[in-house]
Amino acid sequence: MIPSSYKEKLKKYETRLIVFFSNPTVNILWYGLIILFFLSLILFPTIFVLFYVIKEFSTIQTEIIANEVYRLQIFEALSYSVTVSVIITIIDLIFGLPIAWILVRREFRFKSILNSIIELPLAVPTAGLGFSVALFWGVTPGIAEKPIFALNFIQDALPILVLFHFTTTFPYVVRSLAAILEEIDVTLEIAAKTCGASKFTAARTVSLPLFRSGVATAMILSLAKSLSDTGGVMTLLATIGSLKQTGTTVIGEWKHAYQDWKIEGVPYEDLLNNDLASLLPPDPETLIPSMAFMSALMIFVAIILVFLAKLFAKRAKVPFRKVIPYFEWKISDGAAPKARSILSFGFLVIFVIIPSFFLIIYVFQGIGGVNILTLNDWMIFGQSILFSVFVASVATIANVTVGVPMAIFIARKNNRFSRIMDSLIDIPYVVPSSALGFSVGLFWTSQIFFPANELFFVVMAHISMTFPFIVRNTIGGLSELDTSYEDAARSLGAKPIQTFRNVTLPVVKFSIIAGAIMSFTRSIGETGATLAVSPNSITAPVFIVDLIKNQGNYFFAALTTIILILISSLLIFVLRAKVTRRRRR
Amino acid sequence: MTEAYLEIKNLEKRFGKLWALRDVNLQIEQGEYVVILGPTGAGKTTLLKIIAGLIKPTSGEIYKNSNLLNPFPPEKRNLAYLPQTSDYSLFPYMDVWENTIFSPKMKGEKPYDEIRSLCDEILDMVNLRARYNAFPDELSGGMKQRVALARAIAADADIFLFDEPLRALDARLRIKLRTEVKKLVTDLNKTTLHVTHDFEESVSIADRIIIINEGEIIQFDSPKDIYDYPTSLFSAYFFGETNLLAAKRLERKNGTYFVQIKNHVLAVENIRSNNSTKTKKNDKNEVVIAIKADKIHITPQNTIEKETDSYNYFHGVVSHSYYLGKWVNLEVTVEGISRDILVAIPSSELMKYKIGTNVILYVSIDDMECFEEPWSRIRKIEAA
Repeated sequence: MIPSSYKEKLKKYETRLIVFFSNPTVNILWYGLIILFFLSLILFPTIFVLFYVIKEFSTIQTEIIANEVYRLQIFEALSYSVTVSVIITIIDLIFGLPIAWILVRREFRFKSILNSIIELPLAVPTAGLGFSVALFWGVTPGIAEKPIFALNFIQDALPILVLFHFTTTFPYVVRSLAAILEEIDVTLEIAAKTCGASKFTAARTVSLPLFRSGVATAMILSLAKSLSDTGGVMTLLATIGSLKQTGTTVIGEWKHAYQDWKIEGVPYEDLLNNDLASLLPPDPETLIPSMAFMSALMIFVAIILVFLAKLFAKRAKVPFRKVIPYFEWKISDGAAPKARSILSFGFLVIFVIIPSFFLIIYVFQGIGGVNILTLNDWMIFGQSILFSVFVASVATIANVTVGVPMAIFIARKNNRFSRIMDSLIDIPYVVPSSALGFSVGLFWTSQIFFPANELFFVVMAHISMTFPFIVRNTIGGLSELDTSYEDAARSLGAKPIQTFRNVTLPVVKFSIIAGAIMSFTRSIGETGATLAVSPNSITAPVFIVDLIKNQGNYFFAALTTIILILISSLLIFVLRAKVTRRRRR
Repeated sequence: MTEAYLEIKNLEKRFGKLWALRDVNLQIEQGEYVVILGPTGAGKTTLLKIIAGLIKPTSGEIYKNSNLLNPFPPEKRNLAYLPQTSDYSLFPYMDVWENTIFSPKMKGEKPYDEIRSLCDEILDMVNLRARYNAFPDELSGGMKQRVALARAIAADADIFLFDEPLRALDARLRIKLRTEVKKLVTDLNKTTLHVTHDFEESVSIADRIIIINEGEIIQFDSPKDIYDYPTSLFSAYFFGETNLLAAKRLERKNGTYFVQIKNHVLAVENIRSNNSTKTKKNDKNEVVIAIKADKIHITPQNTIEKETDSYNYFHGVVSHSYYLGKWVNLEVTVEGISRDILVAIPSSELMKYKIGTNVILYVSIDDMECFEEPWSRIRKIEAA
């Protein structure tokens, strides 16, 4: 029991707080602070690298662009990134649409199970996922004991990169397509059917044209995600023994080389794999402008691609308006739809689910390998996991505190400023995480107010990276809550802060939690941003990459991945359970 | 004249280029039940929200009891606003009791014991004390409406602002509840503004009605005055079933105005000049006549002699009849008038007017309103 005097004191304190926050001046100051926070801590560091490149352009021109070998290296990595992400975006759309359609419109026995299966790969950190995909599809020279069922036939970088990115992006694409599809009124299709259209024709000619925004969102999702992945690509390519690079891994490698050279004085060529080392300039100091240049290029490419995707979704005409009644009736009824469903799901299982969790088979087969691990291994392992959880928690908490007011500002204050904010919010989301991490690191070392602290930089990079998740989710929740509830509450005498706590929060709470979960899992699985800020900060995914790339300890890497999956699933489970229990008091 | 309780002066609201409200001036007395009536998009809700403080007006002042309200946020105005949503904006996560005590609890002025006895009393008043722990989604439409009312009463607000409070109910319940609401509010001697687009609802409960269209107040009078003496074409049309006829102005003779529809010459009391800011006066001779369907006297042709020298008579044939219970609406085709004239008669007289019957229509000179408006206005008004 809390003593009543204490309770009263608490109440008095609460009242005072309410009065304080209801002061209009405090209110304006508060929003000003939030916007300042966003601009100076999230937006500006994210794109700081662009300013740096402009400033240092003469160096870049003489050192990098003039150097042909170097130029080729950058060009090759970039073209790999772009090719893969464009292919992936197209494949995602082609296969994502039917599966999202089935998930939303069709009722069947295992629907709920399927719904959760699709989300499962999201919990796997991409560093582990890369390894898993390589195990399943790829030729793996470093692994003596190949797991059973492994297909084991792909040797080239490009096809396996495509397969890997399909695994990572497909769940996101299906989920976002399904969410938007659910908003489209079914009665339109029903009306079309009563007018004599077949199911297929109705879906194609009535619902699909309404789906533009969904297509745009899904395209941006898969573009951004496939451009930015670092850890997964590193482990993937290392496992199949390929020395190819993509834009993001180049940044990670260079940063690693630079850091080791600075700290340990080791000739940095030795630290890089041979292929890359031979291409580097003699002076390691030029690595900074070259990384900046690469990051700026990646940001530029990402923005261009996203812009093109938006344009495409807006302008593209629905293919063939002509209706072929006989053919479309035929594929709408009988065995055809069933065959289509089975085909889609078979596809889903083979290309997404099995590759994602293939490393579990590997771990079970080689379970004896646990004995080889020393205490020191376990120490580093424990530290890396704790470090990851710490960074992800701090980033998530910071983002909830700032992101929720930001979301309210965007969703509820309808002025020019909030509309500008609305379009700026997504920038950290589109920028590839390696470029973002590098930019954040560059920004924080360039300023003079805070002492250089790598831990702080890593946390800041993760805050920037995951900020849009919280804000977007909260905005989504807010837009579902009619403002009339808040209007009624205000008019009945509730101050804005009381209205938020008593009326708005109980409803948007779920969206905030969903955003927090996304932000947490994204942060805990992130490799590229961490590596680009500080290669010495061993988070769990960095640890996994290191195990696979440099030590060849595949078993331990797989084990770490599984434990990481368990931790994030547990956290998600606890958070969800807590929320649902509170739902009905 | 005494100071009005709620006074609105020169209120204007613009959304970008669009005028939502223009030149609104109102004076409402303490305890009055005022209905704001107008078609969708007329600016009714905007007006209510501005009074509640949820939208800032572009210009103009609002006074309550001679105090300027403009600088105060909604929570300090002490007005209870009930938004226009199907669930009456009852807070979905709170049960009936929590919804009812919401306002006193938020204001925090009274000790809890006092709030409790007050809210018990209010729930008794709306007959919902037994369901105090039900959540809004467990209640019927009528019950939700009563909870919303209880919540507003518990706020002890000076003025109630109801935005279409009966919209989501079925027809029968709507009729029952509208009188209930009115009674409850009048017993408490509260001033009320009630927005609706339902003509019948407004007539049955209002002390006075504000007719609003395209952001302008068209007329503000008692229901009877608006019905009998509409001051504009819009209020004539919007209020009850009205025939609008395009006519031409003729010379004025012996103090009487004359207008002409094809070969019919009509005498009217007055021609109201057009003072609206919106319509252009393109032809001074174009006028529109408004006649209420129930003010037309109808007789079968064979019963009386043809009175050729009198005005305001029409000869016609019944073309359709619509049975409405107590009333029957007849459509009468008159030669020379392009549209059928709607006539309302008591059902008991239905036998006399079979389809095809030749009839004579007569409209008394004071039952005819004539407005100086371009003919194109008829189509515009009827399309809205």
